[in-house]
Amino acid sequence: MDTARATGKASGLILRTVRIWSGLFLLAFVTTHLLNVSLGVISIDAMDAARPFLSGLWANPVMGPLLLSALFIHFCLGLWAIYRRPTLRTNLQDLVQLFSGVIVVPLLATHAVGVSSLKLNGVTFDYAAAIKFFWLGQPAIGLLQVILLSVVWVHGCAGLFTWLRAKESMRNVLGGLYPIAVAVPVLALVGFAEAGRGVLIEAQAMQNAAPAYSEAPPEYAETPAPSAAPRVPYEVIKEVTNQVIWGSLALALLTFAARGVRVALRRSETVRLQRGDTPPIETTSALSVYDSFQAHHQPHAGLCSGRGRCGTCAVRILSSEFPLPDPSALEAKTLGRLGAAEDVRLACQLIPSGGFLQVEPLYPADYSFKDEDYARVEPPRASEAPA
Amino acid sequence: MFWRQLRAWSIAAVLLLIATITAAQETTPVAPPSANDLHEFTRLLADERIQNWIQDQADGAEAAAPETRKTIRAQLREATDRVNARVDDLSAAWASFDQAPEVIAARWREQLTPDRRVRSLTFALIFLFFGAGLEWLSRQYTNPLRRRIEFGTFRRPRERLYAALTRTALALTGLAMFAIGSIGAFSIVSWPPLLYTLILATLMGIVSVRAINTLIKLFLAPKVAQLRLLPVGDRMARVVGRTLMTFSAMLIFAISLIDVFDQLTTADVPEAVSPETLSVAVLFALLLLVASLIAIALCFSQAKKHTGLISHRSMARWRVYLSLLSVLIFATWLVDTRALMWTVGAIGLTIPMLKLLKGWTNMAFDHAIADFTTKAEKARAAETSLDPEEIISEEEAPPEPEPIVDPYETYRPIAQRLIRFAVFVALGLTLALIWNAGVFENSETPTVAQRIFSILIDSAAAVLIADLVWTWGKTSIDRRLAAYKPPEDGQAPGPEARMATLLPLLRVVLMVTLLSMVIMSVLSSMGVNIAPILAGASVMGIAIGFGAQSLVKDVVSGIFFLIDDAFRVGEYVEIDQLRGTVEKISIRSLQIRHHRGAVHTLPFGELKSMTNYSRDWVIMKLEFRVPFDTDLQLVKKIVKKVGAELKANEHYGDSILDTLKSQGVRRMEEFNMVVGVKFMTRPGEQWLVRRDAYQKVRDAFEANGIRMAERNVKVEIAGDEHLTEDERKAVTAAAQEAVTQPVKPGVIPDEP
Repeated sequence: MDTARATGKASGLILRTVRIWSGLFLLAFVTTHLLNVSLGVISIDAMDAARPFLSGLWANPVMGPLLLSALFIHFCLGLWAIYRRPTLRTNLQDLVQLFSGVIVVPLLATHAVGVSSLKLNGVTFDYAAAIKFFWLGQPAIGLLQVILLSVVWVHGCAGLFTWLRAKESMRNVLGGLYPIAVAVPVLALVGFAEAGRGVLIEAQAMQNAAPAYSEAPPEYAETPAPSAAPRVPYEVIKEVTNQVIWGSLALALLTFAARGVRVALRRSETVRLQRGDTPPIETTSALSVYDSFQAHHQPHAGLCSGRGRCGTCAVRILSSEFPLPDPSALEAKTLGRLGAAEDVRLACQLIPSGGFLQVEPLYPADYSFKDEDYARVEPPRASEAPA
Repeated sequence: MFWRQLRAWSIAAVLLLIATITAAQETTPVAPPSANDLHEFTRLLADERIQNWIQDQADGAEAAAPETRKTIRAQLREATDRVNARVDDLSAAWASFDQAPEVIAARWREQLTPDRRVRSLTFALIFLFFGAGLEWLSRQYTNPLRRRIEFGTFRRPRERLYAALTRTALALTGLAMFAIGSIGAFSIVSWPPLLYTLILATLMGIVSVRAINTLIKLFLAPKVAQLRLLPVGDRMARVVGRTLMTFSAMLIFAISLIDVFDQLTTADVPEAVSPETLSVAVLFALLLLVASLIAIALCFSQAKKHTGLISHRSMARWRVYLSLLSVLIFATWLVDTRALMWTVGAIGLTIPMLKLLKGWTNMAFDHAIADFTTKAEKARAAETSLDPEEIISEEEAPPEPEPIVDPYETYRPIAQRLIRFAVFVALGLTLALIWNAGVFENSETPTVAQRIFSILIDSAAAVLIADLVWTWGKTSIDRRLAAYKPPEDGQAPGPEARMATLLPLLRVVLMVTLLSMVIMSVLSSMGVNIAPILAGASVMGIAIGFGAQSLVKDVVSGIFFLIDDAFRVGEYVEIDQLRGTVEKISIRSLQIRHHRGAVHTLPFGELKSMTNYSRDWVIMKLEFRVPFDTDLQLVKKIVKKVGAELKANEHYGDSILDTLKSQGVRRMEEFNMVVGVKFMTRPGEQWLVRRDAYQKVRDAFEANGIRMAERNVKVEIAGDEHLTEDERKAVTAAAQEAVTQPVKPGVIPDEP
């Protein structure tokens, strides 16, 4: 998400880097956790046997708080990015990433708070107990976990692949990463379902064997009871969970409301924008050049979908009625990497202040790093001398 | 004979029945019958009582057999009964309408505990995730291609069509991956029936809504204007696409919901529809009817705003038509006549579809022709802009620009016919399937519907194919004929003249052939035995062939003369002793007009050899007789000068291929030399050139003091100086008499 649009400061760059690395850190955790769950294809015992090497890595006193703070930072930075966003009407992937990011925390609250409080209480909540709890005790919470998994993974993959696509050196790696990105959650879900099925069959067998007890709720369906007196009572857990859920939702709503206020308050001028030899379009100074193209269904290259990373949306300024704002640190860095001339700007970072602006795209609209056909497209530095 | 067959069949049936019953009773493998059994069997068959019994059975079968064929009245009564029963059902449904939600909810609670519901939802989510994951994966690999299609520019209609189809194929591939992932994973696990219906209905609903969406995208392409197959604007495409999408989603949702309700309420009694479900179904159908009417109104109001292609009146007509169609479909559904409903739907939708397809082909052809014309004009402009240096150097006027002829116009009627043909075939097959006419089965005793369908389909296919061939032939022939320009007066006709002769002939032959073939095949599909007609025709053909042998010979050899390109209309030919210009070539004969006006008619069969004077070039040789004392160098010079003058003539100068030149002394005669000259011209121009050549050479000779040799007599008398005047006169007279002999005319052909 676009943090540092035209701020002209390096803070945008820093925020972006922090957001990416915190996200990667969280994704690594999710991946190992899912790999652990996927062992349910074999058996529940296998899941528990592998726990110290996969999920257990993150449970020690160093990693636990680190994980929590990464989650917090990532969430807050995401909300900040939403606040800064000029428009929400972008492509589908961005929207999915945005809203999945917003609802991850409320979805996660039950699971995370529950597990950590159980640990505080000194109850061993291994996979055998978890599967029983999710499939027999509280199937609704089990359903929540499936939703959580899907949302988290979609969000993580959206972020990861948008980041990777903007990197030219990664173009050959991507093709191999896609199957992995599908295989991990699918295997995890299969493991979860398979383990659950085993538990269900077992429960049915027990019920058949002892029909006398069938009226009373079976004991295994209970939340694992603490052996000693609980250090954290159940009510507190419940309250903390609810607070996290409602707090994060309120924060997200607040962000959207603030964004709405910001958008409503900002003054915007009419901009007439011409791309190449197509007829000029009427747009506002609220949108970047790239967003204006998107809004008017004019295809334009942009591998990072307007994050200012890839440099494929670069345009050459042919004429501008008013002086254009200076490039931000982010844009300057990307332009520097491209070795672009003075009159080349990134369409996704350039927000014209008004008047008539004529630009010429440097890359074809369906450009991607992988295309051999366009491999010989002139790099922006090659042909032109600064005007 | 028929009865005997039937009896045999019934005996066989009885035996088979017995055999199956015994086989069903036996669990041990069947051993071959022992000799004893066979003896017993033959004894039984020989027994009179058994024979009588079998006879009775056969009679019973005979009596029962006609019942399978219902009379039309019985069928009609059955249909009325069904409609009546349906009306009763509907009134029952109306009565139980207010309880329907409670009944359905109660059944729902009864069959699914809350835990189970949640768990099945979990499973459904997992399956959806599988499908979505697979689809996402396939999309990542096809995305570059899709982006290239959506962002690329396609000028030619064919490219555009391919691009649109490829895009749809990509979308369908993704959808197929989704279906495989979700439904495949779902079908691995075994489910209780209600859950099975529920989850399958959900997944199938999602898949079919998305498939419809893909189809709508193929035709309307709301976001990518250049891939749109229908001639509508951006905004209209968006509105219409969204409306259709919503409506189809509603339709599919309603159908699957009714399916689930049906499963819920009549789990114990299959094949029956409970009044509660029926009432909900009627409610949904009503809602769908209203939705479809709204959708039609919405689409047409958009169309009125955004397209100027169709007049408002015809648009209003179409709107009424479509609204009536939906009402009609609803009514036929309400009285539970499914076949009628599908028929109304199929025929009703075919008519606007034909209209749309016609518009689409027209648009595609207009695009193609416009594209071709601009390209050709551009190419011509480029040519002329390149040319100037050449033009200046050669000092030639640029050639007159020919009208640009596009190669597509010929195919427009063919394409339209072809599409119509395909639509009709599809419609026929659909109707046959709906009415279960069993066109594809080859039954011994076809029902009336089957017969009618097969006759209709056969005749329609014959007519449509003949129409297709005729349109193709006619348009291509007419086009070539239209392109033919008759030669201007005095110019030799080009090779197209031959086509102008042959093509009308070919057209008539094609029409007669097609017509007779269609009539034959329609007659034969109606059951008329065409063998006698064919035989009669062939006998007649042989008889006429013998009688008109020379006529046939004329026709056939005429075709070969035309193929050989021996002569064309307007050429000067010589056949045996007849000369003249070819004036008319008919199927049997050739008419040539002599230059004095007489017209000769020659059957082609009579032609053995012919001389054509109008091909490529003509050499003409002229002779001049000059006295022996003439300066031959001077003659050569004069002839050369005259040649140059002739070549420079504005009227026929261009037709002279090789101008007049002297060939020197051709031979010596008694009293003079013969100087030969020759020239080469295009056919038909030689006479004019010869006339001028004679005149100019004579004038030039005279101007240069060259005298043409004339016949004169020199009488030399030895010692004539002492002759008297009288004697001198007598000698002159005698000499005069000796030299005056009749001169034969030369064999130079007459000028036409």
